[in-house]
Amino acid sequence: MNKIFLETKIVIEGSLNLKNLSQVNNPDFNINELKKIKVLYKNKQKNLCEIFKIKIEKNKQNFNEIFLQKTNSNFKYIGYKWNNDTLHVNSDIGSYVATKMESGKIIISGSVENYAGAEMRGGFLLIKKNAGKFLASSLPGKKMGMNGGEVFILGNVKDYLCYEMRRGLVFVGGKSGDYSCNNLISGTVIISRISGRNFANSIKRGTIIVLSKIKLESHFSETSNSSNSFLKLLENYIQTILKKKIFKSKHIFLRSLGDARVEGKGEIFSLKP
Amino acid sequence: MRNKIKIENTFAEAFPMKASRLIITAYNIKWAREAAKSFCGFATSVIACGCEAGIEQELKSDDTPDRRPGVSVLIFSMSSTELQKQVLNRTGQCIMTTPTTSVFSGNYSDDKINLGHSLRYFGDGFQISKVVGGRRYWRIPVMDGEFLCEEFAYKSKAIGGGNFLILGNDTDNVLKAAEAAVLEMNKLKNIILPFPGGVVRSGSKVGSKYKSLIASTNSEYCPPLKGIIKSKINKGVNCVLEIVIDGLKFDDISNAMKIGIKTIIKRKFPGIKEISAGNYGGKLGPHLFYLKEILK
Repeated sequence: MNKIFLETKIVIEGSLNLKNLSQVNNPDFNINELKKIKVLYKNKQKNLCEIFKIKIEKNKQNFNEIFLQKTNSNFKYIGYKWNNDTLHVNSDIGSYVATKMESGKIIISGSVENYAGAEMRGGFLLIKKNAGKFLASSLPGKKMGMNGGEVFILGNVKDYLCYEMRRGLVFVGGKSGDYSCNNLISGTVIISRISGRNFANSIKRGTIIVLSKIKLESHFSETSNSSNSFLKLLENYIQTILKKKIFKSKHIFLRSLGDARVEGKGEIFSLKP
Repeated sequence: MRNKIKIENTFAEAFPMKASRLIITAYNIKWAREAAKSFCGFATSVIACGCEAGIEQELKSDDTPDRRPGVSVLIFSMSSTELQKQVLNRTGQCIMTTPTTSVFSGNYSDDKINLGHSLRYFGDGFQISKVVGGRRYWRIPVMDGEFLCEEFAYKSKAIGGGNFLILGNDTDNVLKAAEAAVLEMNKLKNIILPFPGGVVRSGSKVGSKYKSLIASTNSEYCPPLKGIIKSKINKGVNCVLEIVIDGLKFDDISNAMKIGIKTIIKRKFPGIKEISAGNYGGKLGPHLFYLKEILK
């Protein structure tokens, strides 16, 4: 397949909608048509080659590798319904990255804005800095959040993390904002610290692991923690991805179940005070 | 002749099987071992056990999916259906029942065997499914906590019935030689020696004078029958033991036979007269292990 290098040749000052870039994922896509992909810049349709310098090389993989350079927060919908290929972004980008992503990999060296990984169905998203609101959540007006795949954020996230999430794995290396994990249906979320209010309201099922001490509301009841093997499996997996240990040997987890107000059977692991 | 041991110009005959590898982990190695031993119980021969199983190796915490001490076991069967049945029943009755254990697949292929996919129902609705790294696991609540079980095990092509025979003057010497060979062969990956202690004394031939039996004693190598029937036992041989090897690939078995036989030759056990191998004239299986080629 191909290595595709895209470098902006103009300063992007307004919204740039890159939803159509995902056309390269189609195995029947003619690489010579790449420069004619239509993108929306400041609500005007343009060809990809009007915005980017394009360089194409062959690679030995059975997937394309796309390298997006000199981006900023005006870049939106990058990796929309992304499939099979690997996308590398070397700086910050805007909202809606990896929304409805299906498979493949997206690796972002900078920060992202809102709705990253929203309604994601599969694949792997790595954000090396921070993320905005509604990470791995549902899109505005929708009721189904992230539905598969894995999201790793090494920095902090803002409010509504994993709102209405249904499946998948989310790891947050920093802290999360208000309303984290609200209405969680299922899936696994690991968060280093919770700094916001109204954590885990109305969770139905799913697993939340908080790597710090937290005080849960009364609608969560403490229960026995005998999930040693599962936690170790999870830790081992995350360690292979991040190349660092996330659980310390002194960590002892409490396990609480809830949210009782919605007859939820979700579980929250948090460090013993 | 090598170190005064005759290597018979013959071959071991092996046949295609289906195999699966499971990794059993537990709170400590004792309980992983207990589960593995139980899982591999009554699994010496497909003739009557339905499968052949054995401990492949013990694993350190760093080598297991959940970073707990573990044991990898290999299980072989003649058909995919039988393998599926044996893996599921043995996992449910022997691994899930052992305190603190978890079980994971140790090999991957396109052919799945239901593991957690079926065992989850033991959780009576309280089981929890988790996908980690693209693989699904089931957390089944049990009285000591949770039984973590990968959704599927996988089956792959394998070979069963690699073997060699140790012929010697008495039980003591032949047993010592067999034990030494087993000790070295047990260090190898991708193979198991399914019989008790790795050694079998009741080697068999195909068929019997009794129509209902599919196998009967290997009369040509039975010392008590010397003189009654056409025997392959030479003068001075009073004991024969066999080491049977099941492996994932031809080379795995060939290498194990080589190491086993060479150990016996090198250690110069007194009383060992001959090394031979069991075959059925090439009629049973397509995999032939010629002793002389193996020892080249």
